[in-house]
Amino acid sequence: MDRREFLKIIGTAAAASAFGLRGVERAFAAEALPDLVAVRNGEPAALVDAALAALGGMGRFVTKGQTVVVKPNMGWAVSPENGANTNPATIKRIVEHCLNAGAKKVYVFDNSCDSWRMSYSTSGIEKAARDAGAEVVPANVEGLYHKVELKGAVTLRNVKVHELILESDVFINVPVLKNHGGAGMTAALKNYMGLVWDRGYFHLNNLDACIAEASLVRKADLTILDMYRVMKSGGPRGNPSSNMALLKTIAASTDPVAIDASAAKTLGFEPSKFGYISRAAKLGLGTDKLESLDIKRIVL
Amino acid sequence: VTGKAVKAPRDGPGFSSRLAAKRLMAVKVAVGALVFCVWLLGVAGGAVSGAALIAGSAVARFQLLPSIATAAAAGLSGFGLAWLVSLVITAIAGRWYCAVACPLGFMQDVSRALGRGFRLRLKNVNKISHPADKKTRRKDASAGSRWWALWRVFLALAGVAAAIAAPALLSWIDPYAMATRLAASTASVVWDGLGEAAAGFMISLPASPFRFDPLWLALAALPGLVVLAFSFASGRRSFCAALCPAGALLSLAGSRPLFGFRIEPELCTSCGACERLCPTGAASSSGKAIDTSTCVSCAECGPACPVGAISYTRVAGLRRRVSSTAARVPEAPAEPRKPVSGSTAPSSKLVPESATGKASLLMTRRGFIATGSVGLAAAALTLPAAGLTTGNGPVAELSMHGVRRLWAAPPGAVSLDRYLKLCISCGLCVRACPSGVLRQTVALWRFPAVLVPYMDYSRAFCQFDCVACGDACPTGAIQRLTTAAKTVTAVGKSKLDLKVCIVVEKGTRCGACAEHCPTGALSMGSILGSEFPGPLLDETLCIGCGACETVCPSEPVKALVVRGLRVHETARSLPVRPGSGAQTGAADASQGGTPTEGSIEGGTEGFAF
Repeated sequence: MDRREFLKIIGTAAAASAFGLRGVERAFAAEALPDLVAVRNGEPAALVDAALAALGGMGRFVTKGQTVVVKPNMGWAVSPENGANTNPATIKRIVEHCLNAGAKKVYVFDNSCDSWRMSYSTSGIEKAARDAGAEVVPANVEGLYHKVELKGAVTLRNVKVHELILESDVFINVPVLKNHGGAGMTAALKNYMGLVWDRGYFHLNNLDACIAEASLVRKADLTILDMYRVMKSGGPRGNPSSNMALLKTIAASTDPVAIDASAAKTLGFEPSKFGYISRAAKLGLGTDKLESLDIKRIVL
Repeated sequence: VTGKAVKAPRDGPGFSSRLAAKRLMAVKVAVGALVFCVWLLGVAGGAVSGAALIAGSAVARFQLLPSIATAAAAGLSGFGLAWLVSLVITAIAGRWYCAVACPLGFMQDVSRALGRGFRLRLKNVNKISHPADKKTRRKDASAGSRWWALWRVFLALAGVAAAIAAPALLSWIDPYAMATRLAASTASVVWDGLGEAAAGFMISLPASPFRFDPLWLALAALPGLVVLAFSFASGRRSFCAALCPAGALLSLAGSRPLFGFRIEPELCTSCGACERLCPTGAASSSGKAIDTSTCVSCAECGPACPVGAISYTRVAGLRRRVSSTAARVPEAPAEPRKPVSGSTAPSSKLVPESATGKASLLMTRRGFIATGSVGLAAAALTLPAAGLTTGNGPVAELSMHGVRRLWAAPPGAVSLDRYLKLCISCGLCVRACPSGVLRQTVALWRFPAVLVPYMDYSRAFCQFDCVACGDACPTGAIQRLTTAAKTVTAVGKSKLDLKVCIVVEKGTRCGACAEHCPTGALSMGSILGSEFPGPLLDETLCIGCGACETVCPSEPVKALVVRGLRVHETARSLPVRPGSGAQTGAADASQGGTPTEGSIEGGTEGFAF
């Protein structure tokens, strides 16, 4: 550890504790916190810092001794610059915030589409999360998934879910925004397909309905949407002709539906274009009416 | 131990040579274990660690016959020269290759050691008498037998001819292929099973995807298991002495080495200890000689000799003493032997070479004719057999997802014919495959390929940027590809049947195929008869990775089925759009570049929505 690194850590800790205090303050005046915060024009770690600060700090979501799942999208064995997976720097910073807030353990996993080992390593997330102190765990065997009955679901009445989602105290969903060949767009709600076992069932039985109902498993305590690099076409895996945009943006909210609605708008579409967003809103998982939200925009 | 011989006293001439022999054996065990472990790590963990795969594959590529195959297929460079190194070392120092480089040899030495207690108990029960007893004495398989010598010439030449013309012919007999199949199938059950179980506890072990197919496991493991079982029960390495083509070739190279194991006749009491232990019948106790061409350098006889008469020393220049003739040697005045460093062995009685059996093989007219005919026979049998691997028979089709189709060979195989000719079915590529798409099955069994690996899209698909199988292959059956070449190598072509696509059939949104397609061959667009977007396939972009087939949810027949290509093709690839990152190996930094900042409509103004 050199001096700069040391100072960085001290600075991080100081900032984190400051945010934590602010979190307590905000808790007393909850109406002051925005429903959704969007931060633009910064590097991934700075974006995370600003977004969390605006939401009252990680201390609002994670308290001492808790176990946390940070669920990225790391479904593909492609490198970070392709934008097919959540930005590793974003994950790293979020894990650091969790641990600074006193989390006992932070778990990171995804039921990947490509070979899980290659996805974990090539995405850069495995290393980034480990460096930050997270436990990067497998999600590739059926034995890790447990059947859950979904109350209120019509199409996806039950689903096998990764046990850490069921057992952990806090669930932070950290998707990446991409174009998606199947679902049209992937962001927060679609990211749930990486914590269930049988994705084939989703495709066979009304994809929109299944995506919406999968969120009934457990509403994420916090959703942070990575829009640093956005794949506008050829998603979700991307191909050489994929249209990429460097937005350097992040959005965070406790409302996953609002996140997806704003994501749709970011891609230039009305939220109603994607069937699962309105379905999720009807299930009471959040609101797709952006005009009803208190949105805070920060430019770094 | 017979009890007849008295151990060498501390100050006697045999003491220092016993000590040296023990050290030599320790070194041999250490080097052998090291090579073996490197190889085994590659077999077990090659799918997870690129370094383990490259190191394990280097041991595989160094193997004698695979290296000759490589030289024949790809020329005399790199590992195509390894065979020459092995033969030169053998010609100078004897068959150390068999002791430390050959995994099957090492495994047999281990199984012999493990079986020792078992055999001793068996002997006590059956009251088998002393080995010096003529009745129970085993036949001297090597020294002096012209028939054995001719058989070895045949084996060696047939092995070389096969390695050059069609290595697949070696699938059943090459010790490396047998050992790798045995280790691979064992690792597939034990290690991968353990990895699967550990993953259930969220512990990540460097194992491959678990697969279990009893017929495949049995067929893959059987030849190696038989060899090991035999060595366990008998304490011999009969395969190495009698059947191994690599061993036969090395025995020719090592028939007159400069250095070798040697019995000092002045010290030897003919107690039989070395002969009882010798795994290939190279040591003759009564003849007080070790046949260097049969000796596999297990180095066990030195420490076993109670009087320290056996040492690894310079043997060339000293004319050889062979058991069958030893008794007939007239008493000659002892010639003083040239002093060998570190050796204080006294002079020995020498035998003129013409009096020995095997050494004169090529030196008599009869021997020359016999050797020549055997060589011709080897070529005459092997070369037409090469035709069996390709051309003549149809390439077997395979049923996958209920569709009979030509199966696909892994990228780098170039063509099915070439692949079937060069593959020795060792299965190292199957172990290296991180996704598990590469598999072996009895369903594809066809002579002489035992279990030629194929692409099985029923559980997994070929990873776009991965070139592990080519990194693994020791014979060049799967050529090493660059990532850029791999991503445009079409091993098959996907065929779309919209009638069974669930978008049409069930009227639902899907797109799993297009999601997974790494090349952009599949995209979702408007199709007739559906309100939702349906798959559109551009076959020219398809490389047959099978992602679409694996994930297609249609049952029982998939809407996308990959049919293998008999000859692999170079697929078209989409033009690289600036900023799309390093999606393919072809998209290097110069083609890529940085995406335009905030290029989404309205992105710079009301951002996030």
